Amino acid sequence: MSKQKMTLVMTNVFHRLGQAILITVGWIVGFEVVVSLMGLIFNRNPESFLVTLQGIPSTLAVFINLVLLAYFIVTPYVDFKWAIQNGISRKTMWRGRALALFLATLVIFILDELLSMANQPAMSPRTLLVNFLILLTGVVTCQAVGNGFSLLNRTWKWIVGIGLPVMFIIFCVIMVRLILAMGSQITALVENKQFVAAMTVVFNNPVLPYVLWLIYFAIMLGLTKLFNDRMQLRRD
Amino acid sequence: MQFHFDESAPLYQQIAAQLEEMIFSGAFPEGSQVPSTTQLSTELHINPATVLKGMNVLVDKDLIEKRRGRGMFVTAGAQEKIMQTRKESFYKDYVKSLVLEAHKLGITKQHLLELIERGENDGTVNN
Amino acid sequence: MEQLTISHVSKKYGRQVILEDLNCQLAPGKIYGLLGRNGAGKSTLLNIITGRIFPTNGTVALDKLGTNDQDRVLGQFYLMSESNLYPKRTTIQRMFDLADGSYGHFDYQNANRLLKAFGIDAKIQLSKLSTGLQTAAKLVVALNVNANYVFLDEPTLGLDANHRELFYKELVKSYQEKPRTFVLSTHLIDEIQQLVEHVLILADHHLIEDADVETLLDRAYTVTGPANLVDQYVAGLRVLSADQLGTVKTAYVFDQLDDQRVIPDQVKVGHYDLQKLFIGLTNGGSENE
Repeated sequence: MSKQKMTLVMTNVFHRLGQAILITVGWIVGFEVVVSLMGLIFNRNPESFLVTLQGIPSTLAVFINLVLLAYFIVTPYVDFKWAIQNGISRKTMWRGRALALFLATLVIFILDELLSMANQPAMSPRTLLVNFLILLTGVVTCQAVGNGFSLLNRTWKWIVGIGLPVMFIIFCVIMVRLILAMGSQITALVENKQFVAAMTVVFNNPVLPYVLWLIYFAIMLGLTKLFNDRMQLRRD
Repeated sequence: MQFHFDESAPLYQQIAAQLEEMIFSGAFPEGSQVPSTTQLSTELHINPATVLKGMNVLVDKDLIEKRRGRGMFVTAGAQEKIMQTRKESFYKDYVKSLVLEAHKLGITKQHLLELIERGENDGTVNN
Repeated sequence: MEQLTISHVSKKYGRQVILEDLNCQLAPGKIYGLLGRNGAGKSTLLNIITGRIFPTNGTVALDKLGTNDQDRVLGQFYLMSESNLYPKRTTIQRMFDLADGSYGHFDYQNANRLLKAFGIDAKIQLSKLSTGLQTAAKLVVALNVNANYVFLDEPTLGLDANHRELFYKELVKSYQEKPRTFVLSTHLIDEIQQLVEHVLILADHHLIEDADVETLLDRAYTVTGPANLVDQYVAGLRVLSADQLGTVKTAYVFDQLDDQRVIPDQVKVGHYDLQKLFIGLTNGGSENE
């Protein structure tokens, strides 16, 4: 039964995400073709017309990624509502959406690579994997943000939506000031050969980035679950 | 089939009373099928449990019986049974209150008997 | 089928108390009326039962199946409510398909027959319908979804008399074909009082009555007659309200009548209905005690 429900959650994601992507593709292709046609009419330069047309696939790749990211920010609450209306638990919804997120990201990543193949030299498998993980991490982060926002009513959305970035900027400014204030100590540190050597070892360690990534990814995934399990019908 | 309900008595009793009246008046002759619980509760949108309870009053009085797989039927002699019961309660339900009311109105026994005579004649005409 | 148990459920929004320490049980295969004035917390209670919101305290559980935050329990519940939880542009057909996909065995045949009776096209979007027809469309889903507990929050909102009649008939029919629990939440009691077997009355954040309709009405008496005699007779009994016209008084008693008490000749004892009882109970209660 819950497998059936999970399938329902997943197909719903694919259906709606697919729709959103098709609409975006339609608009972009239409827009670019019109613009380049105008260029052709005014400049009468068929070569530049062809060049602009060739640019369409890579523009598409960028926008499809944006749609993917935006989708997972916007939809959690919408999905929660119809799911709970149909007796689907939060747990099943989370599982279904997580799996759908992974599959959708994979498909779109492959699509991306195909679209930009024309403009890029072939990449090594390692680079491909890293690129995929970066995209996946981005989407999961978006889902964490989306799930978090779905707990907030309209007022709190504004407060948090503006407050968090502002706090982040303030934090950065303070950090920069701190570093500047400690200028001499930092210079000393940079000139300290032992420290530089240690840092080099750390940063050259091939495992470290993966460990950091894994920690970040686990935190984000945990947040999606944490927020997901606290979703309820809002009174706004 | 017309049912009228008010708040004078529990609903199941009203259902029983009105079905009984229909059996007595011959609207449901002996041996004929009475509407099923399903039909009645759907038509009147009354809770099936209530309708069933009303039906069971009649079953207990032996006025209707269940025939397996076919439904509820009016028993043989149902009309006679109702007649008997009603005759028994006639004195209590009608005569006593008639006399009581006559007393309140200051109607003499003689006058009351005359009135009954008159009612009898009118009733015969109406019948 | 399992029994639904609500234990110690409270709900507060900030300092605002909606429900306080609510306890009750719903049995399988019974039609319930959940009654309460506007804002008494009927919808909140239904939302808690069906897992749409979390209670501040307490639990909702289906006997051996456990509490309601899991699929096998939620899969037994369906709540039809005023708020529309479907995404924009959801068609009636899609609502059917979702119910079928999630609960399984949706009765498409009966659902389509009902849609026709209400005059609704399955291809239309729910939000494009009038209030009354939206209610009708949601009812069609609720009557044909494969759930053992179907909660109907204001099921006749915006329905005209014909459609209400149709709904009541179809509800009884559906209930007879497949007995399951229906909970009708409404403040329009007149039309459902013969339909429900058991009522739960909410007032002042509490469940003030939880009883079979028959048991309740068994204690609902009107006592009419000269004011002084009526007052004498009802002394010590719970009187919900009273009307007086000149010297004639009618007291609405909600209590077990004492057989020992002699009813004076000029005093008449009668009954009144659930609607009147509800109004009496939710207006503040006893005047005579």
